[in-house]
Amino acid sequence: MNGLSDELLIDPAILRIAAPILLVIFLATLVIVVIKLIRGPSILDRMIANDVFLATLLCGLGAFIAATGRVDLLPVLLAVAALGFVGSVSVSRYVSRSDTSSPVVGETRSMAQAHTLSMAQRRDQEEAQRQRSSRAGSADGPDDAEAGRPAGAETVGPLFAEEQEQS
Amino acid sequence: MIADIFSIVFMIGGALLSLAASIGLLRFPDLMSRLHAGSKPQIFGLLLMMLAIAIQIPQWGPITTVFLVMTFQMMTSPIGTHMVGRAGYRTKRLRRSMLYQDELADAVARAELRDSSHRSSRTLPKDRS
Repeated sequence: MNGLSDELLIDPAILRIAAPILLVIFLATLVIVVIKLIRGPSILDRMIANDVFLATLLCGLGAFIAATGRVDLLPVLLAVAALGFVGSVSVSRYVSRSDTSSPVVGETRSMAQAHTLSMAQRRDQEEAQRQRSSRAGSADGPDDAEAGRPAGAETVGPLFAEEQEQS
Repeated sequence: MIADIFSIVFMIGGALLSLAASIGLLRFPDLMSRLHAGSKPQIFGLLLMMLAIAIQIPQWGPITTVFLVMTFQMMTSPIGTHMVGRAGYRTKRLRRSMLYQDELADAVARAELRDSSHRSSRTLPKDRS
């Protein structure tokens, strides 16, 4: 960086006063944002601090470009401005999905809840059927096994049907 | 000289907006108010910096690039803010006492009502088409 003062765009007399002010402000901002990034109570606060960190980085890079006239750094600005939102969007998706009680991933929440509901209903039906068969007679064990097998096949069947409907 | 003073004022203004955003991030009590504080330098601070660049380098190449940077930032920053606010509403990280009005609560109640009536009429997922 030899001869940087020759390439300065702004008058060096002004920049000698303004550059320390800018530097102090940006450093204080980054320190406060990193403190917030460390002790933010939730992950969403950390994502907001991350966004502010990126915005401060953009502003500092813009100030550097305006002061020194390094036009070759403008594509960096462009890339950060275009892609800076990806982190907060993906983390927000992750956070707002994690409050579902179902372990099913990739389906909508109502779909997963309907599935759990139907499974509970089917379990109740099997329970009633088993109680009915045990009440009818305790001697016919093979009949009980025969009643158990189609119920199990039924629990598998609608799952595949659902997947085929979705695809 | 006048242009230098203008661009220096713009640069210090953008830096002060960043500082104000970080202090607001540290001091505000709520996720939504922190969101409000944090979104200031993303658009306005960057706009001031880009104005400083456009004043200092008055050529077509840098000015169009600066315009593109502002366009991208204005397109993408509301997306991220919206998603963070949505996740904050869903995980209930907002103080109800700080709200004047919760317009989304009516929509959520209506959607839950519709969802429950839909589910009571058709129970099995086979019937949902």
